[in-house]
Amino acid sequence: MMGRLTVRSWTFRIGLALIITLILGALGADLFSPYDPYSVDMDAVMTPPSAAHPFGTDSLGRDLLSRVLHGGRISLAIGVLAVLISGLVGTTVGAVAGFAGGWLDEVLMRITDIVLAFPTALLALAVMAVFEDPTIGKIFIVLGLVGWANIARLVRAEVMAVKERDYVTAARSVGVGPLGVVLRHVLPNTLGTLLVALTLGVASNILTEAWLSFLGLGAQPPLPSWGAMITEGQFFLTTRPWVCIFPGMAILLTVLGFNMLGDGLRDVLDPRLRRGK
Amino acid sequence: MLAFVLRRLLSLIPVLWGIATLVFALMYLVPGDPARLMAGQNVDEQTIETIRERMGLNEPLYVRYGMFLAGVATGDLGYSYRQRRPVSEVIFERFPATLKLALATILIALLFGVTAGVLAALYHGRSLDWGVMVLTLLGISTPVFWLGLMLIVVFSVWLGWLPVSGYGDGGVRHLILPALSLSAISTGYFARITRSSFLEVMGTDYILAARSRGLPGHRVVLRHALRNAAIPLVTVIGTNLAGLLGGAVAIETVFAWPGIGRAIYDAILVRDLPVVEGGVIFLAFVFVAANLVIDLLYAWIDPRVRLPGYRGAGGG
Repeated sequence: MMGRLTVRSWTFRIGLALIITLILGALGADLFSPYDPYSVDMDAVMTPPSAAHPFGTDSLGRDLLSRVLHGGRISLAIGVLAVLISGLVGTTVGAVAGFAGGWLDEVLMRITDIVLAFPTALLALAVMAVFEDPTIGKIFIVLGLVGWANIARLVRAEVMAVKERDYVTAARSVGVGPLGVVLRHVLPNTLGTLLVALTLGVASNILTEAWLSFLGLGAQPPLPSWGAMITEGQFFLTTRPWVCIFPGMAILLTVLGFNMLGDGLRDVLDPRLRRGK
Repeated sequence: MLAFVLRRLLSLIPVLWGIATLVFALMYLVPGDPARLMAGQNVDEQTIETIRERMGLNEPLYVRYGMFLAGVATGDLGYSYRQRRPVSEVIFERFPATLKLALATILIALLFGVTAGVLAALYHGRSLDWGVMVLTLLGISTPVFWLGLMLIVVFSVWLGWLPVSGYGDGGVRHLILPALSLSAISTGYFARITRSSFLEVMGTDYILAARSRGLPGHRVVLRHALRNAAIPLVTVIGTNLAGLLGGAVAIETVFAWPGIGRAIYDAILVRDLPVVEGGVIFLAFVFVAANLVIDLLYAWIDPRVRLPGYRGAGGG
């Protein structure tokens, strides 16, 4: 049934196609790149897009197409890894709060509320600014640790909902522990909503990473991070705009892909919403 | 209503305390000696020791934490290493520009977003609807700082219509491009919310009834549906404010806009951490306070919200 519904959501299909293309581009970056993304060529500094350099070159004569392709690895890796951390922390907090109840639930949910009330991108900025050497390795951990709160809410609600059901009581009476209940009954039930939240989370993580790197608090040169490439390019913006254009397009398309995928998934999984689409 | 206001105000305390504590913990983790940073180079040990004493750095951790919380509560956000004046002074000076940018952004987003959403709903299922949906998806996926740079290329460099950057004399001309780029994401969300609440209202019995009485269709829909869309719109303004304030840091950097965001960026470059963290605390407080106002507005419009068990509306 799901297969048939999936095909009907155009956002889902286009999003999926975009993401698959980007993943292939990132994985095969070494194969498809016409040049080494780090190799400096002082004879080809700031050349406009041409047959030899489809996206042009930057201030050090590096081929921008090759750098954009390699940059995809950084963005996708950070987006996905950070979301996995958020998912793990959120699921744990939500499950513990839901099962424990009482004061532990109260404390955990208060903390969740505080994190939800904080603008997460600014929180990430506050943390990254503290490091003397901000690196991409730190970014995905920081993004992962600030983005778990809505997932915790979601999982807790599902735990509360299934906790008292007969089949869960039965499972527990034959010795299935809380972890077993979470894995067998809670996660399968929340999978849909969780998947939507995680997919949209990837999109927002990629945007935040680009923003932090643009501000100099993320990937450092010479790493080909899309955000950092835009920082380098903005100094030549008025005369050589291509240095900024292509990395930005790459960010836009990637984030668009994940947003469309998330939207499409939500339409597919929640038939009630489909009426209005 | 008074009880609701009080309860809502009290619920702010743990949030504000959480924000302040987190920032204190971060500042404590910073490698290096704040006194040495403060003193600059070529200063003898005696001076540094004096500064350390004066900044309270020799006190035990819990005393410093207490001093920090008391400071935040009374509006003292520390002392800028580089500018050599209180952080609160820097923020006070920069806040009007940021406020102006934020208000202009919300206004633009409401204007374009609501119009686009209404049109999409009225032409539901047709190519205009489809076009609006594609545009909103693009809007919410745009890195705003990049959009800002692209708008500069088009409107300032190629067409020469608007200034590249700066604050100018504070007039509208300098405000247009930064506010326009910053509004992309909010416009997308506003359009979506407006469209879906319109579609909801258009399918309800009372609209069908009004239409069947022969009232002109669009006028009925506009009057009822706009009112229906108002509440979710207000909520989304609140939740979007987080992204908007974050985006402002990048947009103010791109456009050399003299607001708090630009102050934070400049401070990042010279590692003037009190300004970075003080700026972030302040923006977070603005976000929390704005959402409080929205919750109160909400409760005023819809009395059910005032009930103790109610959870909903937007953020904390």
